[in-house]
Amino acid sequence: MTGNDFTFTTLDGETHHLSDFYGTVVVLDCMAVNCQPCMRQMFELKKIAENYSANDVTILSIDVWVSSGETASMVQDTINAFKNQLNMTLDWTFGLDDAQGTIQNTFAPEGVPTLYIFDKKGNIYYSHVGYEDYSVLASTLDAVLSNG
Amino acid sequence: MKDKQKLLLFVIAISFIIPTIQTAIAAEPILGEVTLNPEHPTKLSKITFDVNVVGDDIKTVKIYVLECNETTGICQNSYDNQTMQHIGGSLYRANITLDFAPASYITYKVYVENNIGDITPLPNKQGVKVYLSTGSSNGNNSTNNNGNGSPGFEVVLFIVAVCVTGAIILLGRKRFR
Repeated sequence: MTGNDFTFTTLDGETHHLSDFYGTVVVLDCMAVNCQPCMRQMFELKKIAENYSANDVTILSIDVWVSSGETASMVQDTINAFKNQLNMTLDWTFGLDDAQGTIQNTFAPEGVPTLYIFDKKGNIYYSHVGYEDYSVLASTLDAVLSNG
Repeated sequence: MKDKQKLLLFVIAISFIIPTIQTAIAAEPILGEVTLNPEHPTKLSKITFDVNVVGDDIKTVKIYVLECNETTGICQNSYDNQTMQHIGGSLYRANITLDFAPASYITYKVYVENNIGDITPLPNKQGVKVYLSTGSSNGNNSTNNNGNGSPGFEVVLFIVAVCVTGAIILLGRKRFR
């Protein structure tokens, strides 16, 4: 991990880095499937997915409690539950931290959810520990997008 | 007649087979209701979780406790996958000391791991949510005789008791005279 860059694994097992998404504003959602506020946060992230172009904003929901036993299949079950029970497609990138909790220790040591907004160059523009409303996230996104 | 005998044999055979199938199905671990002591825990307190688990293939019984703050929506997993101690019979126990000061509620999940690694969770997949009391109890459910919250109440009772006793003694002496 260099600077703000970090590495995560997608549910398909592919390795990605934050730097892969440079050029778009990135919303990093450090979450856990066992965390109820994290599930509530999904509704706010869905609004971002609906109201911002994927060319401008990338959403990354990373399960940072892998070291506590959370797995890709648990994350997939959660995505399926949103789809089947709420008819809501969580159509953004989901991934997992490593077993050592590298992302958790660096970006979410105080708990989950922890949210970050990175500008297009990967600099941290905003961070918040705990659930956050769409309105706050949207105004922050508008500000960082207007900065280029 | 032969048909009747065949039918009888068939019924007898079925009556042996069905219980065997039922036993095989029943071998899957069954989790009882989880009880908390104290029933209404406070933040930063110690909680004892008890659960009865019945089944043939139980490797470990584990508990997952999450502490969260309702207002900020922050959660911490202070106790993840802690093995519950087998107390005896079907009873399993875990003592958990909460350590997230801003917590306003906890969620817990209990699950059983069998010898091939499969798990049987409680029916509630998202975990059972318990709001933390705001009292200052240290989590001990035993009766603490901390008074009734009225300062000096015991003193008043004592004075009344002394007066009543004195009055009874005085009245008794007058009668004997």
